[in-house]
Amino acid sequence: MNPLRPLFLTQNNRGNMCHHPKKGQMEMMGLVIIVILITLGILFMATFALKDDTQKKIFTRKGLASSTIDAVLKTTIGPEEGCGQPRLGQEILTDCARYYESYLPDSPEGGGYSEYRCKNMHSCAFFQKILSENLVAPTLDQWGKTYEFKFNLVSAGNSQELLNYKRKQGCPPEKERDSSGAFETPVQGVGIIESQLFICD
Amino acid sequence: MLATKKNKKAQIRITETVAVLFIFFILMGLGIVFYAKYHQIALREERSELLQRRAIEITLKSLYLPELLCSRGEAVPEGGCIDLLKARHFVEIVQQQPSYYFDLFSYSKISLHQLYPLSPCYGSADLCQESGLILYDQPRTNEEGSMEITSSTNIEKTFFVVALRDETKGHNNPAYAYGYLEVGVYS
Repeated sequence: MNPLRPLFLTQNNRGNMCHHPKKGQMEMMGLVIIVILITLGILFMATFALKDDTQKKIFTRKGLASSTIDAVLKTTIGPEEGCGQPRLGQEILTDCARYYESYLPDSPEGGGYSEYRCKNMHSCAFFQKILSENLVAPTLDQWGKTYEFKFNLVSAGNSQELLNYKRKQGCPPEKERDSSGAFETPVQGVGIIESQLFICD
Repeated sequence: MLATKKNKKAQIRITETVAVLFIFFILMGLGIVFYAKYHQIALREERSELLQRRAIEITLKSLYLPELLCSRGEAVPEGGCIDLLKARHFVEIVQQQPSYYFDLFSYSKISLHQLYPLSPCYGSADLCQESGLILYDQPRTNEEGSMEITSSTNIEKTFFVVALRDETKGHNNPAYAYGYLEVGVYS
């Protein structure tokens, strides 16, 4: 005898009164089970999809942003560049802010006059070259990070963008991003340079 | 005639029940397989998260280790900076007191790399090579003392950009190179 049938059979034998409602109930039960199974499946998938960033990812992003900008600004230029041993975040960046008016971003050597002429380049162009080729390419680029460097000159309440270097689309505010915080470098008679790095992936 | 009709109806019902049972067991089997897979992945993720937590701890310890950190007299130490004079000496200290550093770093590998400027290479020559300056290395070993290499041996790597200070290279101020600290934790 089929173990699933006795209830039906008994009902049928009693006069077939409740056969159709019971069958309907059974079908409903089947539907409910299927719905439950599908819901469970969706829940499992949701837990996978909505998993928060791991602790390490957040820690790496936060710490990496501040340590990278700090190291960039501290770096001393090598003697092979032919301009002594200035520091990238001090002499070169402040020189870039002072002579920003003469900087031509589209020119390979950066255009006009600047006090430091490392590799015969304007200090703004040289800063960007060292940042992209020597510092960021073997680290953040190599590790697959998406980032955005911002160097702004703030003077008399106005903020002017000096340099902006980013990978892919950079890190706009709508993206989940971590910031290094603003690193300030005063430039006598010009203003303050605010350097900031955002890492978003 | 009636008996044959009833017989056929019963056969249809039996087939229907068998089909329902078949589909039910298939669904149940799929559910079990799916759950087992999920559980396996969850366990693996938990293991990897533990390893990542250990990697964070070891990275933080090595970044703020007084034996490596840039300091100047009684002034506040510079964060994210490694003193290369200290780093070179640190390799010898680790060899003298391996058990003390094992308590701190456990099974891990810590190395330092200089990326810019490459000439002159501050500190020692291996700092600018691909392997970097190995500050600490303690791989897992088996009973015979040789390095244990199994399919489950995994290295969780964490990279951190640091400034490398060399007091002997600068003119008036110490020279700073740009590099990174690599911390690999053996599972």
